Amino acid sequence: MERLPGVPSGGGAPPGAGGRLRPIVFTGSGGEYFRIWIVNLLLSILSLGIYSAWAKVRRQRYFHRNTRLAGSAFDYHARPAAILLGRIVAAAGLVVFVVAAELQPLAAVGLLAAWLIGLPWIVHRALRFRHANTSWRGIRFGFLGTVGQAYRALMLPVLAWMLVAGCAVGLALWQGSDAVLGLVLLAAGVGSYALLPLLHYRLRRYHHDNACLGMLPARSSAGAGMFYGVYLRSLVLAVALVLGFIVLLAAGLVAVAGISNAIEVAATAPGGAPAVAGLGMVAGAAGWFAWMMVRPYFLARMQNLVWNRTRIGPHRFVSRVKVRRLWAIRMSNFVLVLATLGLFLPFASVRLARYRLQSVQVAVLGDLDRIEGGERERIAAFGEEAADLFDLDIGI
Amino acid sequence: MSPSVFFGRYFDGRISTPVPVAMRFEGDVLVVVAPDFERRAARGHYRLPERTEQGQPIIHLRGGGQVEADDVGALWRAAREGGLRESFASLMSQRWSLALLALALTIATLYAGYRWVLPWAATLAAPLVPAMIERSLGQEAIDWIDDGLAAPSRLPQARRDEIQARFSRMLERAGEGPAPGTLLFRSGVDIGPNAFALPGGVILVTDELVEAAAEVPSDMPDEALLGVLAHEYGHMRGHHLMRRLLKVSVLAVATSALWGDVGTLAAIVPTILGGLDYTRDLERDADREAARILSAASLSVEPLITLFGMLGEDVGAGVPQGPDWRRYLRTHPMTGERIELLREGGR
Repeated sequence: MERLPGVPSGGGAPPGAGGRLRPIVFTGSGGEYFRIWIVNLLLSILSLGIYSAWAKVRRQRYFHRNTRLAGSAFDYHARPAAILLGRIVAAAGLVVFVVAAELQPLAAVGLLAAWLIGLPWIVHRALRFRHANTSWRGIRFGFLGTVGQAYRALMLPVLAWMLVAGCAVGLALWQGSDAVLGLVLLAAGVGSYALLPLLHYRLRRYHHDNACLGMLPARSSAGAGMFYGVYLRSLVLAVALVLGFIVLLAAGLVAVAGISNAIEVAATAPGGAPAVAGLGMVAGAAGWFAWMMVRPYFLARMQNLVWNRTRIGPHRFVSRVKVRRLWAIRMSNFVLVLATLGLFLPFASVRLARYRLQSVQVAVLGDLDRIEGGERERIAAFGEEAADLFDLDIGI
Repeated sequence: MSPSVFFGRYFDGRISTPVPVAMRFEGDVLVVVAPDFERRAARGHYRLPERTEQGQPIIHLRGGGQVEADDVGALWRAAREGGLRESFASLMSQRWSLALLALALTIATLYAGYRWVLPWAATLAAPLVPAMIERSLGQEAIDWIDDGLAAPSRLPQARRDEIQARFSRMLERAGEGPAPGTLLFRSGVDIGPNAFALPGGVILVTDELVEAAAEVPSDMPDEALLGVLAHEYGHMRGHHLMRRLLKVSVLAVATSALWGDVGTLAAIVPTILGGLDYTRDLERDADREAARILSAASLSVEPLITLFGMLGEDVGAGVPQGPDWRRYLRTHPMTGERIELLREGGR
């Protein structure tokens, strides 16, 4: 959905922080954005994707200029030509990868490793591009983090992820001929996922400790433990939901077929294969169900955690996203987008952006009229577009 | 008449202090008047905002600085007097009638792209795929089939040579060049009576198919089997597999670009349905080609039709007259339609 990276979209002061609370107001409308979106889509298709760079600038401007703080809107400054170039480079990289994977799987593994090793650099470029092209009252945001810091922050978890990829390849090569080794690899793979919250935390710290609005530096005071807390609670919730889903399904089966029939069906499933396939489908459905249900919880808690512990200069944010409300918005969005074959998408983006942005207030300490600008820089869009293409969400 | 004046707040980019300003256009030169300075920007040195309902209209000035206009309507009234025009995309987005027209055009373009442009481009591109890639794909498929799906053929070598010779003779008589397709015999463990055209000029035939075809009464020896082989040869000759691969890949990229935001499911379903639709078109093509080859080699299509009837054609063909929507879930065209096509082409 819509991201407003670089824009402090959460806000409000923790109790006792002092300062006047200024709300973030979002004034976009679904109908108006639909009209922009459909024209963007048409022109992008007719131009075989070239216009999509201009479309992105239109979209970003629409969302930024409809997001206001203290009477002034945010703004987006990226040049479409820079975005187009970034998209071409990123897409060319993807094509090379796909072709290599088809012709020579080992070369693809090498490229994947190169991509993972390059990831911190891409994150660094993407953050620089995004911040340098976002402004409020003519003052540009900036990102001062270095490439070295990006590697120090992200390389360990990224290496662990490479281990996961290695495990997958290893498993595929062994094809279960050595069960013990397979299990060890699997365990290592699963174990490295325990580093995901750490990776997320370090990414956030790298982002929020190095961002600035003009001369005002941002600081984050979130701790790794808090990230693990949110992840763990989400996981527990998801597991509970999966179990509940399976119990409900079993109960439904028994209710429909009668208990003896259900047991008989389960016991006499021919050949085992259909039974396994059925089980796989149930597990997949349960996993998807849990993902849908738990994701709003995760996103709400994460936004609140991150923004309530971020300040820009003396100003703090208060983010009060409610899980239930976010859940209702995301669920209804999902259903409506499916039911309208995607036509509801722009309305959904606006609804979600409005709720997430308006849940944020800024506790202003001192004067918003006296923020000084820093140096302006031009950044190539490659990092941003590569991150976009590979769905690497470094936004809110 | 003096030019229209509109108002706003100027920011110099160095400090967030708003400076109230009045603005006007002198021709296409933007003049920003503040209490203690005046800035003039020639055309191309400022960027005007798109007209939106609530969004903050912001004018960017080249070389730094920007103005937040109070009223986008007043801004554009003045700009129009200066001879400036709104962008095409912006104008289209301002009215529901034009936006809905854009929607209709989008749907029409997507449909035309899917129905005509993509198949056309794939037909054009498929023969250009290097033979090396086709061969390596074909080898991959053979390895995959040999890995448990099929076993070595139990047919005597003499019988295999006989079929290969009859197949080559049929193609020659149909004017298909000297050494066209190679047959590869396998015993179909899991795939049953079947034949596939693999990339790289190989047609895989199962023993079960040879046996089933032998049960079909025909005037010429192996007439039904040759019919199936002619059909598969049609796939091979038209690079159907490569065409399908190209089309489905483009379709997958396009749908994920369009609907990827919604979720993987929303992106996958159209790809699968679209892929099946293309498959049906290609089957029709191959049937037409089979009918042509059979007729050129003075063979009848009737044994092939009988064989299709016996084998239940293919996946999903167990329902002879299903409701119409089922058509979209089937890989092969419906039976009646198919028989008609074969008979017509065989005449």
